Amino acid sequence: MNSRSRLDPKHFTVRQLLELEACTRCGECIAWCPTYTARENEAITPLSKINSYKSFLKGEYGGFLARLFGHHPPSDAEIETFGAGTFQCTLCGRCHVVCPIRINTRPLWIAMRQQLVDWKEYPAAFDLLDEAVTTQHNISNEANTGRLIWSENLDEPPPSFATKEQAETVYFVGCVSSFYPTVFGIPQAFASILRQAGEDFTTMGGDEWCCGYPLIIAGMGANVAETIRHNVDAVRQSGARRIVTTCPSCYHTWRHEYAQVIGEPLGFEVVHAVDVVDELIASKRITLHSYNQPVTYHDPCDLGRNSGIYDTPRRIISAIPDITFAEMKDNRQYALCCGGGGDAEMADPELTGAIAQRRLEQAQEAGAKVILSACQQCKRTLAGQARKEKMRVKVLDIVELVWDAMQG
Amino acid sequence: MERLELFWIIHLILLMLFGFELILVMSIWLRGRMPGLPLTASPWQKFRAGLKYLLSLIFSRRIGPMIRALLNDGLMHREILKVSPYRWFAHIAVFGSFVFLGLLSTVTGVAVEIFPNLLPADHSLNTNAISVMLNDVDHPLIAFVNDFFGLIILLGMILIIYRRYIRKDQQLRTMPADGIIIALLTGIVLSGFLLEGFRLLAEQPLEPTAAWGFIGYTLVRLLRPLNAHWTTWYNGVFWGHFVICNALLFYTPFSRFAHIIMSPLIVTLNAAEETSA
Repeated sequence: MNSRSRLDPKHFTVRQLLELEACTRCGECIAWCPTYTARENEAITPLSKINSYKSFLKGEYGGFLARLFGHHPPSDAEIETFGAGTFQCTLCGRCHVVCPIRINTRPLWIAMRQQLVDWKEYPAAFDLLDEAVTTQHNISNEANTGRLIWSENLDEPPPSFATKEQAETVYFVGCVSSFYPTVFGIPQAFASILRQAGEDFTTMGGDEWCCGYPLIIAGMGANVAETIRHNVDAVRQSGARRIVTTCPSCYHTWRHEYAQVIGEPLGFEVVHAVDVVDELIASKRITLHSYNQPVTYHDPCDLGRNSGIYDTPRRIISAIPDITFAEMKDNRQYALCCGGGGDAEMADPELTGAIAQRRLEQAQEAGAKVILSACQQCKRTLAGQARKEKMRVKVLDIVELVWDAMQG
Repeated sequence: MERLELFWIIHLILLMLFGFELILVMSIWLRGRMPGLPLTASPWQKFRAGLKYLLSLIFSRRIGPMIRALLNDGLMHREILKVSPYRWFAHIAVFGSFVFLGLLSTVTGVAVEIFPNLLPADHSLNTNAISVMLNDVDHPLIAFVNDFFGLIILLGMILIIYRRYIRKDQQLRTMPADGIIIALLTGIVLSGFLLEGFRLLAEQPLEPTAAWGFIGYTLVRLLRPLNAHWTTWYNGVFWGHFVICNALLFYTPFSRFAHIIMSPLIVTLNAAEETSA
């Protein structure tokens, strides 16, 4: 027995503990796991994580019978291996899609991470992330007042709570788009689309706090309750009918986590930028001109598999005159992850590059000159790898494509 | 004490112990959270909430999709068929045949051990054609069905062993626990065949219908020249078969084999929730 705290099954619901038992260990998930394919570390495989946790749980609480059947409380070495595998996962959720039992895997991996956080067995970078999000309110550990730095190149800066407190729509920009210059083009394009369409919108500026997603998926979700309450209160005060994000992870968190944390309905709608753009095209509030490049679309995990939005971005693409669109080999619910999800980049940056490389190759096989996505993190990861490998492929967010097409 | 009396005494004690084992395993699962209940909720409160939720699903319009999912995915394993007909056949051969034979023995147990002891001999539940058939172990149909499905299980086990230990499919991760399950399942089938053969040898002369149990009958023809004390062999294999069956029963809740219950349950719940989403 080691000195660590006892395993706490309350990180899981009863239903989730039964789901662990439902795993047949058929191995269907292994071939589809992007991290295992890139690393071949057995501890990464979904069935290994499930098997380890089940054995720890039974070993911890099953007494003599569990020991008789080969289970025991985890040793330090076993926890270390289990932790490495669990934190290298990108939380893409492909294992859920291909599981014959349809085990809802992603929440299981997050619950396992919560247990590992209890055991203090997580990448050191997570402490910095925790500090940045809970004190500076963004993932970059920079002054949060610089949230609108991306807008400085625009002819007319977008409104923010400082200049416009009330609006129909609040654009929640997200940390990556706010602080990483390589993706500033996304909020610039989206704000420009909203302005040109005459949308009544504002941004939160320095009142926007990190949505909490990076800590939730790190297994540190208990630390973001205050952040979530702050964001909800700020949007409520604006009287907005809806909040829109260009980041699928912010979208997923606002839509699926926030109401649970505050224990009541938000009182406003949460939509992704693709929903808004689709609506603007359908209502002819924006006009699209010809775009003559062969493109493909990369489904971001948090927008596609985890939120079920597949058709809307494809409808937007098909609305652009003269565009040539081809699907990649793995698309929609089977889409390969870009490698940038699940905080995996903090645990293993090379792994992220290796997964992104596979996705770029799929795009090239599809004959695309432009890879579209609807996620700043996908863009950052794929573009970074393309640059590193000098691949002749351009990575654009779908709102950037639409803004280009609007300008003709 | 008669062999069957001893069997029932031990069997009932083991079933009680198995009940305790199930309670232990359930108490582990009930350490998880139950949405809607405080973290301090007792296992009993969680159990009741879970049961209430389950009943609310059963007595709702979602029952249709749930039954469809249970049949298509939980029992017929449609998703495995889409991926690999080989895997599907191996799995369904073992699982389907065990389920069928398990149901047959349950019905037989009721007809042979319960009805005659509870109801008058001339009660229709004891005199109807099906009960009479189930009471006759050498009935051609019963003998054939038992051997046929036993053979299908064996075929499935051979395919599983081939895939896991000879072909070694890339996606498989074989652990010692897999070997234990495979050995127990194969042991149940093989000892079942031997048991039938030794019973027929011990009950000479053979009933004219014995040949319908084609595997047991083949064993009789092969072993009869050895002229051993078949009753002793029969008793030995009887208890051997009993031990293997119970070993699998007790191992199941602590092994990957628990999926035979949990997978159909989770598939069915998922279908209900996807319908309501």
